[in-house]
Amino acid sequence: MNAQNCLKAVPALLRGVAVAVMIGPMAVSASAASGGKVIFGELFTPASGWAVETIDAYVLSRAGCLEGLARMDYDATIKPALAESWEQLSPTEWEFQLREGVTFNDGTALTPQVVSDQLNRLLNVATPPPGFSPSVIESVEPAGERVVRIVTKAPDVFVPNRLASPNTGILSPAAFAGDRINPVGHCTGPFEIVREIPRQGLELKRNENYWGGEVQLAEGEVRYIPDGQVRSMMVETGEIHIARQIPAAALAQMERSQKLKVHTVEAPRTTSLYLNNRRPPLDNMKVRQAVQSAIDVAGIAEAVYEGSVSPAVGQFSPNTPWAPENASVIPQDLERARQLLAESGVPASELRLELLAYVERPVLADLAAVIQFQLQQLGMQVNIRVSEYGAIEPQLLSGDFDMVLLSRGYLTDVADPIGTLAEDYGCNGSYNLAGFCDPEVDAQLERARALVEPEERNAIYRDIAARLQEEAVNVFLIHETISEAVANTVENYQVHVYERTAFHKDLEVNSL
Amino acid sequence: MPIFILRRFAVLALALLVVTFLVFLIPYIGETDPVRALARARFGRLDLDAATIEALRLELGMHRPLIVQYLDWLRSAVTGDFGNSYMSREPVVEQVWSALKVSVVLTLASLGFAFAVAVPAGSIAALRQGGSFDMATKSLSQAFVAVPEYWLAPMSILVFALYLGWLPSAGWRGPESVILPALALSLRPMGYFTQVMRASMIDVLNSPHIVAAHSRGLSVRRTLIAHGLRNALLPVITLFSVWMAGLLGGAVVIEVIFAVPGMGRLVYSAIVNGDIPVLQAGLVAIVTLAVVINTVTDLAYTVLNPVVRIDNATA
Repeated sequence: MNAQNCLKAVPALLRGVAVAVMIGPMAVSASAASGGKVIFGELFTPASGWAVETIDAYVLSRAGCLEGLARMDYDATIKPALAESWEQLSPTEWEFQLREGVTFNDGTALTPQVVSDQLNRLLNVATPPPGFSPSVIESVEPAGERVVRIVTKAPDVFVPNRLASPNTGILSPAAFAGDRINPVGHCTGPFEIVREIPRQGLELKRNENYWGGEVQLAEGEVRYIPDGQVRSMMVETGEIHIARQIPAAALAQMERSQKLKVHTVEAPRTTSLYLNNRRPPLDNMKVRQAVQSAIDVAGIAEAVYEGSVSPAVGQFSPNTPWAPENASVIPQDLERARQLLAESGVPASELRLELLAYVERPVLADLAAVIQFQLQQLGMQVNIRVSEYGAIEPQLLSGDFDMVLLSRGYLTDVADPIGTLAEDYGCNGSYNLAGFCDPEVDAQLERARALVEPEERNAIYRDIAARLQEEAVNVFLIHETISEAVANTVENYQVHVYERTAFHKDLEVNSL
Repeated sequence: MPIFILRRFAVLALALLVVTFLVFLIPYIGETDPVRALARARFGRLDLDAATIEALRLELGMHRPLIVQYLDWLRSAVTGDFGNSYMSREPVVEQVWSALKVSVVLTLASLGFAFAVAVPAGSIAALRQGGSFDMATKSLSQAFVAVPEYWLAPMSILVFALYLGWLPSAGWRGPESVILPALALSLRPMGYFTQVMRASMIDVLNSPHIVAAHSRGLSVRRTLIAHGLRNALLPVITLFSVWMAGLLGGAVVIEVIFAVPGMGRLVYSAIVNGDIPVLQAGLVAIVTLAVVINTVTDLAYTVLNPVVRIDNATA
């Protein structure tokens, strides 16, 4: 036996050794059938027992199983899904016309009663999803053969938006029959879950009776792989076809690969230096503006994030309709920063600040060190404290801090920044860390809530965003991106920046 | 012997009682509010309103005094009911049992690798003391002890999965998927076992009864197998039991990197998510196993070593 033959024999030998040491049988992955199979590397491991009100619902949505009355498209527009149309009857009243002939995998028909029961169940759980809670929704009831009526507590133009969230997805009533929620065989989407392997993944097959038409793939699989580097390696080895959220450090290698395409899109998420506007010296706008001018956001995007993100132009990415026109990156200008500090009248002895960061996003510790260095150039003394988020949260919520680095999504419950703006910058906002409060901004937000036309709302958001940047309420650092690696054999895959869709009816794979 | 066994069981019960109380306190002595941690994990967001937090606190009964919560929990735990996970609302016992099975396979496989290499390597190194095999064994075993798992694991994936394509990178889907994590986990105990085996074998080879066996004309191989190996193995068996107890819940890095759904990952996630029932049941399971394994080791010692047997009998 020559050396080459020896090498060929090694895998078989290793398998033999493995079988010998194993205790008990283990699952062996099934082979692909006609139509092909795509394996999706998911970073999140569901842990909430498939409670629809939790982020577990997003995994079901990405698996092509869970659908709601509406859906959010790739460009954030709201499209019909299980409801074929809707109408706002009055400022607080909406009617949704259900699609005809939709059935769950178990054969149960989708009816207004089923929809109404499940949405009411959501309203009655101990912790309803913030976007569809009793504080927003007054009632949900069947109102005809195919109609569901939803009444809100206050005028609300976002109801279709709220119903596009995976948290308002509809499962067959049988999914709730036992003492735990069981999505296996109880969805309406293009794929049916045939098996759940706890804490490892989901096995899918196409829904032959999908209301949306023919589904191309025969099978699918979702594998939970929490480590980003491992997801990257698995997509390179061909063990999986799609890897979600590739870490910046692995991007260069992925981009060199002949077998993969890397899709990078801007995420609705901004990393910012939150400044406590309530206490000295950061209650002084000139000091905040000095901090803003001293920080090199372009350099940070290039050096700390290895060019995988874009420098921030404000709260919102320039590619969104909420960024002010001509919004641009504020360049580092130490001269201007020193001048602003001098104008502020704050003595140098008061420029001792604590900068908080949290370990759940490891890059924030590096970012803190860079900001510390850049602010020291102004003569500021900055002490860094890096801890688990849970440990610094009480300080943040009570306003007992100077500066904190945070990564925040700005489209959470609905595909509209109203929620984030109200929570982060409204006088009564529950996450108003900066302590910014201006009745004029509150009035603008109140006005926006009642505006049906998106463009009219967007004009208000642009105005507020410009104001936040101008007054340096916080220092916006970078707009985050999502990078996903996809095997060349996969067709019709698109990154959904709102993290709602992966398996859809047109997804295809060529044979490897 | 019965008194010895009874004494061991009394120690086990006492250890468990102390551990359960300490385990119960863990989530409350940190800076993090466990209810907030739980809510963040459930909803995947930082901005949670106070009403949601309080509703969750009430739902979980975490507004009650700590001692009431502990006694309630202990009463149920004694009957094997560790309650439901705060995250999934599913019975904790099922989650722990499923993770424990995985961890037992991984731990036995890795220690099996370590033992299979260390015993012959350590013995041969002792027999050829000062020779090139001995030098190579010493150097390699020291390197194995020093290599950190967070480096070794990705490297082994790079070599065996990416470049050679022999084994899967991660997951727990069949016998092949056990090899890489078990190998990565086995290196450090392999290094320790080899060093201890070598030192122990050198001691045994220099002991009077081995010298006497030689002088009676027994061959080196027969002397080693009949008299040397059994005695030299005792310290390695002790080490084996210590590592067994440690790896059952302490392979977090390997389990996260290789996406192995074992005890380490379960307990780690429970800590991060504030899932107290899972954390408590997981730690109780790990500690129970550790104490049981130590007890079994003690009993094995009495079988293997007559001196220990006499000591226990007279104690």
